[in-house]
Amino acid sequence: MYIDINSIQIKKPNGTYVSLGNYNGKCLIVEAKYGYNKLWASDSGRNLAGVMTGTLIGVFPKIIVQFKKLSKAELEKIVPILDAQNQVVRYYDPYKKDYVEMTTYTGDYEVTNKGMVGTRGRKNDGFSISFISIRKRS
Amino acid sequence: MKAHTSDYKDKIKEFGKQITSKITYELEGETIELGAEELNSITPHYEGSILKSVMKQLDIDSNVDIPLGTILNYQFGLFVDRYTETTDETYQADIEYYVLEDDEFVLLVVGTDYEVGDEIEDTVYNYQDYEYLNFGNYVVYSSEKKEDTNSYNIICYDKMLYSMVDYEDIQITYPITIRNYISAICNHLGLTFKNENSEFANWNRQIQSELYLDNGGNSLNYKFRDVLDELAQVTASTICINEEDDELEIRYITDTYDTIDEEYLKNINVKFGEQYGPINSIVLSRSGESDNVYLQDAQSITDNGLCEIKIIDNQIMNWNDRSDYLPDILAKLDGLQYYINDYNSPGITYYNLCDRYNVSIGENTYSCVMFNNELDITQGLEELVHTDLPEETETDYSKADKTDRKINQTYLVVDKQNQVISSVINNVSEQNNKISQITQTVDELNSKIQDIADITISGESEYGTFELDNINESEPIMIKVRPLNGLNNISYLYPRSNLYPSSSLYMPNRKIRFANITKYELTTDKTYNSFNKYYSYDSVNDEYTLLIAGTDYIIGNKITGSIYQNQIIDYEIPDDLLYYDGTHYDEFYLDYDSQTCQIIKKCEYNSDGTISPLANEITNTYTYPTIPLSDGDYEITLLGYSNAYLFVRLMASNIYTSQFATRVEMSSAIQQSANEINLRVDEKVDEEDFTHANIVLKINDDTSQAQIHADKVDIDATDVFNILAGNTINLTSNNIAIDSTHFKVTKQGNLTCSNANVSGSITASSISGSTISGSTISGGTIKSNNNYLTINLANGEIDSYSTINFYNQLGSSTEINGPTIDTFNVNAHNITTTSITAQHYNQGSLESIKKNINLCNKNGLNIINNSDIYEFNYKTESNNEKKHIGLIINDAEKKYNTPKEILTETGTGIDLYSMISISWKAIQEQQKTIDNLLERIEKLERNDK
Repeated sequence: MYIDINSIQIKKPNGTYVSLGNYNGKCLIVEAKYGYNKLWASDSGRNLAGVMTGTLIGVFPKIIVQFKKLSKAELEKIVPILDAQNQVVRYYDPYKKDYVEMTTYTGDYEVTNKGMVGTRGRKNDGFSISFISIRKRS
Repeated sequence: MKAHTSDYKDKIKEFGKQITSKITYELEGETIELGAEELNSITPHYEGSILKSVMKQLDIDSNVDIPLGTILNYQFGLFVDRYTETTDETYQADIEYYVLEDDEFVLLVVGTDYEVGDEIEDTVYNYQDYEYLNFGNYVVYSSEKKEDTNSYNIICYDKMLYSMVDYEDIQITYPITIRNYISAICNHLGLTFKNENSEFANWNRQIQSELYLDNGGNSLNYKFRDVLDELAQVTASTICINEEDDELEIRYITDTYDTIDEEYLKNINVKFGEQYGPINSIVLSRSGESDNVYLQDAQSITDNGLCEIKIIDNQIMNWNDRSDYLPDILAKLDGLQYYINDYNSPGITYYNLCDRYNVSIGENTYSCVMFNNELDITQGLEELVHTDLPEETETDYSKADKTDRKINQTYLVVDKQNQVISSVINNVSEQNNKISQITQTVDELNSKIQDIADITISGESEYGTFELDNINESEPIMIKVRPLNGLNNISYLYPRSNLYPSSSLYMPNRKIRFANITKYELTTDKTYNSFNKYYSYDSVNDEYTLLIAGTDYIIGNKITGSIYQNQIIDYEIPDDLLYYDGTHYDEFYLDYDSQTCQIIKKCEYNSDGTISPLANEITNTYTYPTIPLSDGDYEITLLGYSNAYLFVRLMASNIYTSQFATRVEMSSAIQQSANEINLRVDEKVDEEDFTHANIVLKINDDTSQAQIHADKVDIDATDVFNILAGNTINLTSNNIAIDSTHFKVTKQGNLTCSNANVSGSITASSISGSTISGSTISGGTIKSNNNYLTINLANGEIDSYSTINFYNQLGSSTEINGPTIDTFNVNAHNITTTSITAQHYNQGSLESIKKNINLCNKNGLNIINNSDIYEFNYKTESNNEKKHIGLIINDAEKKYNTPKEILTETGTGIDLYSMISISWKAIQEQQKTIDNLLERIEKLERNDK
């Protein structure tokens, strides 16, 4: 949840954080969606009384971030983080009323280059990516 | 049922329940806890039933390996998100506490809101996220790594696993109670016995000896688990490891009074079948289920039909006291019933093995027992429950019995411990005990048939009368009589100082009446009394009709017509029998076996007619009486004494009527081992061995030997094969002799006859090299098959002391019948006989049979001239018979001038060959004289010319 420009941060390998809302004074993202996805076990279904029953494996937070059109330097900074096996994302959790860290994996992302024909410029388009917690919310 | 809260029961069925698992164990002194992060799946499961031991299993799919043998504890957690009030307690630092403010729980923080150890007076709450159920401890049995998932498949069992080892000596002293035996097993296995001080079915029955080891203490391939299975049957329980305290438990079905409804059932695979039970019959079976004893709830069977539990071949309940176990087992199982089921559940989790619970579906409620359970705990939860119909058995109760100790026993005992199978058929009647028994071991097969007949029948009464049926013609075997109180002394009534006979006071007697109530005798025109039963005889229907005193006649009446009474024999006890108190009374005693007739007196009359005890008892002996009883049914009565003890033992009709004995024992036995067969037949009359025969056929390792021991052996067969192995009876092999009055063969084979008669023909190709000696051989024929008989004496002799007499069929002739003998050569040194007639008499004269050969220089004429020739008759002849001419020998007086040159060696006979030769020489001498005379005559005649 957005509360300030540092609401979403990603831990770099050196242990420092990159704030997606304040990278060298620029905000790298244009939109962030906070999802709380419930994962149900395979035993879910209706019981003999017709009542739904099932085991909730857990609530797995998911943040979908829409990056703006990034420059070459910005992409070179961000992509290694996104392509890593896991990321540690620090965000403000309104349920916990505090900043929390979660280890995530990322979904597929696509960086689109527009203006490949002509001379008006060759800029990377913005793209979106999902950060999904590997553990359920405690 | 596992301890849980009502919240738990509600939460477990909810949509969105959250679960977790926790495994805890010690490793190298450190407590290790594995949680949902490390555990991929957990599957606790078991398959149980009544009357067996149950071992619970835990399958773990873990990212962490756990060493084999590790004892771990498994707990299943359900997220309950609950605050519980915990006021007025001393708090610990590791617990989070909350206070309720504005309907919201606010966390108290250690160091800020309280210090560890503080007592907080406010209402504070303990937050509980997960509620855990304890599934108990398990032992890691195996671990296998799955390379594809990089995880471990770990199989664990509860501590029942300790019992999966070979049974061995547990160092106990027998007999031992069932409870102490289980306790000893637990001690041996390192388990704690939960019921060590409690009572359960058959807990105090005793095991008499070791059952699961052989006599040498060696294993019989039982495992302790097998023994626990049998103990579960004995205790009518399920033996398992308790989940809470890890102790071995004798568990019975426990009613939880808990009900689950459709919300606890999945909407697939929900089956509730027929109701099993109620159990109302317990059968103990052995010997291939052919030998059964049972105990039943008859009312339940009537109400519900038969439902039996059959326990088969239980070693503890294998003996003839096994029926003693049945009441406790039936008490535990009688009425047990439950629904057969098979269903899947999204999770109940809190029922334990043997918990009874209800399942409510619609308007139906099913009472179920948890016997089989599998809980699949992965990301989700699924519980598989089923209770099957026990294997149905149907015992043929007509061939089963309620106890082995009843009169007719037929059973087969399989003693697996000692490897003995015993089958017994026992028929016991009042008089006979017939037993057919076969005992089989690895080494021996013994069979025995025994018939013990107590051929007496007894009766006793404290009312002075009873009946005995089917009595054999005999005398009483035993009689005992004694008074039972002082008012009924068995005595004549004698006038005393205070007692006088009157019209109402008469003299009774002391008679024992034996009334044969199956035989009647005519008793017309007599005065009858009340002690006799009378009958009138209907000759048309050939039957007797009882006359009743008071109805058909009055006691004392004379009755005319053909009236019959029982055939009666009265015996009068020879003296009074008095009673003083319970230890001082007289007793009459008659015993046929010892021919004893006694009265043991312990009381006496005082002078005033009262009775006092004797200081020392006195035994008076009387002449043994004869009480001849005939066949039939008897009514035995102590006349006039309806309050007296009477005991009588009589001979009963039996199959041994040819023997007068009270007990006959017949038995035959066959004992067979690998190298021996022993056959034995015995008959024992009373205590005396009447006869017995014992045949032992024994084959030793290196020789063959058969022995027959018997008073008498009768081989009655038309043919006997191979009785003479090699056609030889070797008398010298084992000092065997044939002995009889007329004919004996010694162990050396010498034959001796004493006036023996040999009839028939003796046929042989050759009889030689032997001596036949005897005074007379008569009455038969010695002949050869080819009508040519040779008695070859080349190597034998007919000695000088023997005489061979040849008799004709009239027995008087001394002739050798010439026509039947073409050639009869006698080559003998000396033959003495009366007359020999033959065509040739040849004197053997070969040089080869002679020695010391010299020319005879004796003067034959002198010998002849110096002898006298006489005429005579033999003394056996009459004087008129033709006279014989010859020499007379009288060696003593030499008066008959018989020359010694022609005598035989013994001087008793004439050597005819020598006599002829002397005559021959005399002729030569005479011829020489004649020749000389002729020569002189010729010379004289020539001179005359």
